[in-house]
Amino acid sequence: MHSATKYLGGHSDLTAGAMMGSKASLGPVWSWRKNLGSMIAPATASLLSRSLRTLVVRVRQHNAAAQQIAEAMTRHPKVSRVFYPGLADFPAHALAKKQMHGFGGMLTIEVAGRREDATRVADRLKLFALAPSLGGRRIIKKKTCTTTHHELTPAERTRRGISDSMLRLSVGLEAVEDLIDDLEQALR
Amino acid sequence: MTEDSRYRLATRSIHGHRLRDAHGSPHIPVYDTTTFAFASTADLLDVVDGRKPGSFYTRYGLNPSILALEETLAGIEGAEMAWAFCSGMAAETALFLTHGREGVVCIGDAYGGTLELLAQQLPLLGIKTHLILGDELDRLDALLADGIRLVFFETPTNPTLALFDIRAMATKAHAHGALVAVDNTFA
Repeated sequence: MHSATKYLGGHSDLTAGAMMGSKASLGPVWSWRKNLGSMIAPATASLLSRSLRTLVVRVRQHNAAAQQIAEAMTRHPKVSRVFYPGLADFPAHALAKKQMHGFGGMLTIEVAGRREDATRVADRLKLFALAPSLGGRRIIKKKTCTTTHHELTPAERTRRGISDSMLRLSVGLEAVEDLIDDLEQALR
Repeated sequence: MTEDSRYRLATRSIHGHRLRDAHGSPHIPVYDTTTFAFASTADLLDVVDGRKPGSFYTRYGLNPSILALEETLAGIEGAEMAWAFCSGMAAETALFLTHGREGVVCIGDAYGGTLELLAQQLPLLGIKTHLILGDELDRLDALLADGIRLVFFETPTNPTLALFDIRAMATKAHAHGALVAVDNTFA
């Protein structure tokens, strides 16, 4: 399953979904899609096919840049924690190496200090847009407690290991040096 | 999977379908067309009854722009087939309504919209949904034994990038006759 709106589309300009699998499991989905009326539009399908032709080179760059940013953030004194499968001390790093072709373009940092400190960092970033969604060529940052998980209670967020100081970063295709500079000026 | 499955991923993402454009376009252009005309009733019935491939009606997905995309998506994933949807949530909704009616177990964290659908909306239709976290996997066996037929999870998850072992999870679920669906949007 994919929200094709993210990496498969890759340019923040289309909304689509995809389901891949066996004929036996996908066959019966056809009638539901038909009668729910949730078909992709032909123009969107064509745009998504266009995007797939560059998927591999885009993802390769997302992976490399996210790894560099994760390593830089690990060394930063104002960052208390970095969540990225490509880091050797990430809890599931061995599984990531076995299961994934790369470690992805998504990482989450936890800003040291109080919740307000994370908000201040988020607001000071210039290249990272504060927005939901991910996987586009432009970098996107998101405060997890105010976007995707806003509907959960504070206790439920804690239970799920989500803190108020987390910033989830979707690393874009900008020059990675500029992205690291932007993070460093915001964390200063 | 397409006949070109011997090619590597980057090649499959470019040469992923067998449709040929009537005017020689190297890719299938946008067919902004709701319906497709046939020369005869016999030709129409051949497509409707599945005897011949062809375009028919866009909402059914029988449109060249959509068919080319789906064949490419299947090839990229190494899957037998693919369906494209108007959004990721549309894909998930169709999945849950098709395969989740006997109950769904969602493991670990998931996108907020997915959690809302599972925790608040599907139960309104009488569908039993169970949200268990990654450190509660010991509950999975009991749920599967209880007749749950669909196991769903994201890997990596949002926002802590937690991972689940897809092969191990599939082995366990399949042993109980359950299907596994994985949301790979994050990577």
